[in-house]
Amino acid sequence: MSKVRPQELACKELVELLTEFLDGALEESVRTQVEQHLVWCPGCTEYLRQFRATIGATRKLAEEDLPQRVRENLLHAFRHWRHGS
Amino acid sequence: MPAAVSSGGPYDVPEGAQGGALAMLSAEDRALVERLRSGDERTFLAMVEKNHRAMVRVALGHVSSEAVAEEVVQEAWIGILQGLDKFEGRCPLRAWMFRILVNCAKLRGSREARSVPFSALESENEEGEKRPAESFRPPDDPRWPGHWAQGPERWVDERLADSEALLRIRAEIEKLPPNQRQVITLRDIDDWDSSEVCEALQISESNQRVLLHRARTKVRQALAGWAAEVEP
Amino acid sequence: MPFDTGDTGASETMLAWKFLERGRVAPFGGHVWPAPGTGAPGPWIQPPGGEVFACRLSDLPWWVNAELWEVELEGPIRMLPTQIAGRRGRLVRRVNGWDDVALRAYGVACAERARDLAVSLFLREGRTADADALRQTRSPLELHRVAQELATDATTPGTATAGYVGASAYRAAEGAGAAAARHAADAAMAADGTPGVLEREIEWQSRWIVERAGLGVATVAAV
Repeated sequence: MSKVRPQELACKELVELLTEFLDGALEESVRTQVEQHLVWCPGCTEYLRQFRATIGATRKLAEEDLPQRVRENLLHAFRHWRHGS
Repeated sequence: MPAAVSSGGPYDVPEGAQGGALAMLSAEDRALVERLRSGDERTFLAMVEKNHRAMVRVALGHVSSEAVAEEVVQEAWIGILQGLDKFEGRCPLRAWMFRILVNCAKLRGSREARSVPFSALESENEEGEKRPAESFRPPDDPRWPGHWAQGPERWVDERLADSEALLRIRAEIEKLPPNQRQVITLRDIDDWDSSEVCEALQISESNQRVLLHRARTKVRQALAGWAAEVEP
Repeated sequence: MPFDTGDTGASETMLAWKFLERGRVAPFGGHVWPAPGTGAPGPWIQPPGGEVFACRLSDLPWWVNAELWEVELEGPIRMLPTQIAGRRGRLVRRVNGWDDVALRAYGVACAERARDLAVSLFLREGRTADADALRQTRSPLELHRVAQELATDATTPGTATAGYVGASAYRAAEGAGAAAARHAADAAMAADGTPGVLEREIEWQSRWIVERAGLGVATVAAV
C-alpha cells in the first residue's frame, strides 16, 4: 500500500505473489491489481523479468545422463521381475 | 470393489478412489503399464531415464548423499515393479511411483543417521561476491511504505545464457531445504505441472506454491549480483 | 465512474482499445500479437484457457503503454471495473496518434498538473517563495529537483504533495508516461483525502489521452 492508496499492493507484497501470478492462481481482482502495479512500477517490472528469466534458465538444468551402472542394475532387475531367475 | 490386500511396507501405497482395473488411468499411462507388464525393456529404460534426475532429487530430500539417493531410487524401482501387477490405476502412474519412492527414501533416511547438518551444506560466500543491495521502504515511510527503496539492478540479458548461470543455479538449488529443493526441481527443471507435484509429494496446492516461491526467490537472489555485472 | 458488470449475453463483437508494449507485445511478459494486414484486421486470438482484455475509453489510464491499438473483442463480453474481457480478440488498427512522443508528452502534462496543484497548496500555506520556485521550473528534471527539495516531510498538504510531484516529474523526464501519471494522481490524493479524487484524476487523464490520440472521432464503445 502507498500512503495515499492503502488498499493497493505495495512492491514488497507484490513480489510475494509472483509464483501464484505466473501459475494463474491469483483471484481475478488480485491479479488485476498486480498487473496495474506493473504498468507504472519499474522496480517490480524488472523483478518479474528477472523472476521469469531465472525460471527459464533453471529449465535448462534438465535430465542428466543415467549412470551406466544404474542402467544395467535396473535392466537386470526388470528381467528378473518379468521372467524370474 | 474391496481395497487391495495390504502387506504393509513402503511398496504398499493405497491408491484411493473406486473403479475398474486401469479404467481410470489416462490412455498414455495405461499403455505404459501394459508394456511394462509384457516385459518391454525399451519402455522400461525410457521411463527410468526420463525420471531418473527427478527421482534422485526427491530421494535426496530424505537421505544424506547423492550416492545413497541413487541406491534408494534403484530400490524404489524394484518396489514399483513388484507392485505393478497389483496396480489398479486409481491414481496416475507417476504419482504412484513417486509415492513408493518417497516411502523408500523416508525409510532409508530414518535408518541412517543424518550426519550432515544443513549448515554444512551452505558454501562460503565467494570472495568479492557482489551482494545485491535491494531493499524496501519501511512501513512508516511517509509516502511509499513497502515500495522499492533500492530496486533490483537491471540484468544483462546475455549473462543468463552463460553456462556459469547454470552452475550458480544448481549450486543454489543444492543449498535449499529439501522440500523446497524437491518442488523447484520437479516444477522448474523437470517441468511437471502443479497438480502432478502435489500428487507425488502429497502436499496441498498452496503449500506447493509457497515452497516453490521461496525456492525461486532464493535462486533469483543468488543470481542477482552476478547477473547485473557486465564482463570486464 | 459507474460501470456495468456482468455478461452482455450471446456472442457479439465489440470495438475497444488495447495498450501493448513496443512490438505488439502483450504486457506482463506475453506473446506477440499478430499484426493486421493492409486494410483488414489481424487474425482472431484466443488465449489458451483465458480471455482477451481491452479498455473502454475510461479505462485507458490504468493501462498506458507504448502502443495503442483499436481492437475487436468477441463475446460474451464481461464488464469489469477497469477493463472488459472477451473470449477472443483481434487487432484492427494501430492508433497512430499514440507514440513515444505522445507518451512522453502525457507524462509531462501529468507532472505539470501535479505541479500546479502543489503551487496552489504552497500559496495557500503562505509559502510564496516555494510556490514560485516550483512554477519557474523549465523542465521535468528541474521540477523534480525543486519538488524533492520541498518534500522535506509529509506534514502539510504542500509538502506531502511535493514528494509525489517530484516522483511524477522524475518519471516524466524519463519518458515513463504511465508512472508519471500514477504519481500525479498520488499528488492529488495527498492534497485531498476526500473520496472521488482518484476518479477525477483518472477522468482527466482519460480525456487527455483521448484528445491527444484522436480517439474521440471513432464510433466505438462510449466512456
